[in-house]
Amino acid sequence: MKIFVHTTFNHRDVIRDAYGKILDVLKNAGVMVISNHDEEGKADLTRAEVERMSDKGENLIDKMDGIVIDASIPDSEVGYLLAYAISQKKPVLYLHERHSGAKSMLSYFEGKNVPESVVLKSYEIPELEGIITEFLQRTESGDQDVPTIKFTLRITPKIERFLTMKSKQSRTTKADYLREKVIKKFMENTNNIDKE
Amino acid sequence: MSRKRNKIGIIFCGGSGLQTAGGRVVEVRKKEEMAEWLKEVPELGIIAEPDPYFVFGGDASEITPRVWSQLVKKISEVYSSVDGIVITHGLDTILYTGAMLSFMLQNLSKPIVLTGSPLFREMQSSEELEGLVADYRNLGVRANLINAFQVATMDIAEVVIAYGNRVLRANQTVKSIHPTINYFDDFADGLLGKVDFGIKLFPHAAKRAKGKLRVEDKIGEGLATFRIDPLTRPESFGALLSSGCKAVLVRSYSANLFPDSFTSYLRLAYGKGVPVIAYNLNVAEKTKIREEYIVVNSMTYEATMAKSLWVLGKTTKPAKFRELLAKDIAHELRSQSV
Repeated sequence: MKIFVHTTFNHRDVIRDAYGKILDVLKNAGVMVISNHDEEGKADLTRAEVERMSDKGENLIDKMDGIVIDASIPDSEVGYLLAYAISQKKPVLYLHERHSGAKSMLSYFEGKNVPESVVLKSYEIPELEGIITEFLQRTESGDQDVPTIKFTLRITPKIERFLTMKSKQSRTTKADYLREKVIKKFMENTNNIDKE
Repeated sequence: MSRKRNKIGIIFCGGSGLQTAGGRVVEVRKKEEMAEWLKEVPELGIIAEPDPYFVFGGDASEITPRVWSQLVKKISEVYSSVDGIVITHGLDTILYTGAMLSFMLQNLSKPIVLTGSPLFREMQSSEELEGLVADYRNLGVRANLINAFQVATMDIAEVVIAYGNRVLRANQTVKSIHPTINYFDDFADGLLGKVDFGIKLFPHAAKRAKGKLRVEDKIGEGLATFRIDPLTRPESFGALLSSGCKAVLVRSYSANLFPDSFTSYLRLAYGKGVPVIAYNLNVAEKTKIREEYIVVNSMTYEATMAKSLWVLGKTTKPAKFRELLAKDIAHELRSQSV
């Protein structure tokens, strides 16, 4: 699992400490962490590596499984990240330190429905481990329901004809037809492993 | 501390197709459809307050100089009341419109950001949509919109295209031939910013500055286009010159620009005072200077066409036409010609 962490520092040590805690919890959970503060040397990918990936034309934010935003100190990128993540239905943990006095960007949604993909939490540092663990569990379970990974599958004309026939018969798209078959196989395998 | 909330004008000029959660495509083809469209992208409001306007709802192939004039009129009406402007536009002609706006809107103090979508309402099959999105190497139309909206709040004062993971100077953008997520590539100094986990603008992008917008909205008429390849007959060029055109933009694939068989027709054009623009990026200008035609090797084709129309709006005199075409108006010229 890959998580992007965005935070902004100021003179308050508590935000920097929170950042360290967030990274520790994520890394202890086996998550690959990418952060907007690679100068701290704590993230798994440095800014230079991110630049190289971007140069190849990869859309980095779409490759993340989730985003953690500490918005205790608001900056213009927080709104952008949040809007982008919502538009792509990426799970977002939107944090603000309880005594920061930061007005949540989500105030925009007051009186409207906050998107399900967004978890909004205020925190004190000792609470972070529980909040992040819960977010990771929620993100992992969400993965099973929403297909997000794309890849190219090359098939022969004969298989293409077969898939066209099957998709017409089952009144689904070829992609949905294949996905259902793979899920069925996956569940059978999972059940067999459980029995063993 | 409360910060002033940005207001971004969003002008619909085609290219607004968005796929809904139910798989339907919504787009703005008339003014009354703007409200429903905006309800589909409430997240835009997190970045800034959207201020919607309608100009055009047709297909990209229907874009004409008349639409450019309407677009510029609308931009100049709303310019002072917003912090930046996003324009939705069909992708097939977005390069022409972007280049044209860069000449018509000068002394910019805030960004004009074009983005667009290949989707349209009649697409109902998810396979068709998936195929089209794949063809356009699209990050997702919503992603392009969010990126465009963010760029419109940033410290940049140029006409740009936000698409894929790039922010490009509109008059230095070309369609990409590379199989990456980006449908457009930069020409020369056209890459102004990149999207990764945020949007980073490069130092050579013009910054916001105080100043009054200067609208130079007169677009010339009578520009004809012509293409020279091994099948082209010089008589066709002659026929074009007899049609009453005021200038001709010739796209040549030959390093020699014109075969010898064109010489008499080039003399004819010169005698009639019809500027002939010889476009070929691979020609060394200094070795090809002739009085009969103007060599252009330092702009995109789309920028050359837009600029030729803009120059025709100012003059039809060949010497002045040549002078204006060579002048850098909106950072459209690459710094080093071949």
